[in-house]
Amino acid sequence: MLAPDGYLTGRAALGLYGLDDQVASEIDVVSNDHRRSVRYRQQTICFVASPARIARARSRKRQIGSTIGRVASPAQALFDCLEDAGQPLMPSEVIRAMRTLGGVEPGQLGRLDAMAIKRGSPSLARRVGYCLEGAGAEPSNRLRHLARSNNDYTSLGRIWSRVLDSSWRVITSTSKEAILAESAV
Amino acid sequence: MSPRPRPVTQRIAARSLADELQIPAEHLDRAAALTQIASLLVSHPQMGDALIFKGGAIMTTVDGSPRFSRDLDSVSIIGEAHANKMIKAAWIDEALSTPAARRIVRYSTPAQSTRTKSLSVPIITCHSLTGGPPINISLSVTWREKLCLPPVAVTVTNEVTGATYEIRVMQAIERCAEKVRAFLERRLPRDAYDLYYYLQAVLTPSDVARLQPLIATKLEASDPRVLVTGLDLEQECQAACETAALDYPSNVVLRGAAPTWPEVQVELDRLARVLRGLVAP
Repeated sequence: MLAPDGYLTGRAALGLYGLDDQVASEIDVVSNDHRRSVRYRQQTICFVASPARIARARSRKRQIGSTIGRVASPAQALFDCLEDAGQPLMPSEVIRAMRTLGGVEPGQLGRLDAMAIKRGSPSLARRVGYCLEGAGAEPSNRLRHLARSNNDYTSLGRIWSRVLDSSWRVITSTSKEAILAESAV
Repeated sequence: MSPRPRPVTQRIAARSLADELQIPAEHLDRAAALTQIASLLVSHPQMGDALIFKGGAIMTTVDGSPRFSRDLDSVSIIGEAHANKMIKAAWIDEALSTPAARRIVRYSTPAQSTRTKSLSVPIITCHSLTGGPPINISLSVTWREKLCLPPVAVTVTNEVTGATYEIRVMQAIERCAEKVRAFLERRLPRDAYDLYYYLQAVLTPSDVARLQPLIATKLEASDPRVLVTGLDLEQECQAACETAALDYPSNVVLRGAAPTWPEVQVELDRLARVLRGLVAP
């Protein structure tokens, strides 16, 4: 299913690196062409057709079950989670994953910062910056400038009440203090 | 001449069990690793008697919940008076590096203090018992909150090896009260499913009747407060149901089919009635 260039990303990829503590019910695969979702036992494999994303993505070869396939690098998987409109992870889960990643592969957080700058999307820069700062990393000034390049606010995670973070122009459902406390447990 | 039958090794038996249960072998591996890690921790001379387990992994192994978990949560409490006992990161590292542990644990990141009164080991990579790739689990230990009820000793069985371990766990009713708090604060479909399971399969009617004061105590102990003081919790529960229903059954991975949302909603309506008259502290 991943052949020839597709890669596994999202929560399932983070789980393979030990960066997420939940079992993924939806396995996200970025592929070159459109395909229908496939149900495998209790999990659904969802395909995102995006040759452009494949071209710029950073991936690694990993054992997936009994086969070897391409899996998004940890930074790429987090980036895809934050870029995805559905945002499968809660902000606290993204921050926890970033904090864990910072402990095992610190260079990946810098790469995440650079990827967001390269993409040039203020909205994505806000989400990445907010989470990086929450994880204790120091977002670059270029990322901060990009995030504040317009006056819009961007939602992070599922929103049912509006808590505004003016420094990153992000809307969340709970306060940053609560998100950080949740990410620390 | 007929071929000699292949001997049934632990690996083959585990794979057959996974096929029988219609689940990926990885999930069975993870469940087995979680019980083994729990047994390693309680074998440690200094902290073994102070660890009380809770969370999704305990719901699976003790209460028989069909939902899979990847992390092992524990609280550290000791003695009848429930005085908190501080756990040292070095003890956890020791427990995960004994000769017995090396047969299970392939690699683990050092235990780290995440905030005051809690420790976590973000990545514990364990050998697969079914012959698959190594599996990752995480561990967190907190001693921030006191237990409301005395813990209970239970025997858990490793489904793959058949080995049994004695561990102490937080009472189901108290775990349910914590889950209610989490559901009100996070509104996640997986919390909704866990509450459905507690109310439908674990708690007795008398347990449910005792739930309200426990929930109030747990909300009182929340740090920081997520719910606005004075908020009507019955209404908040209904609002949480509406949010969770939008995503259900996303990220709820079960052995077998997930119940439909109306089935879950029936139990959550019972919970809302339990919360009637209660306001956020």
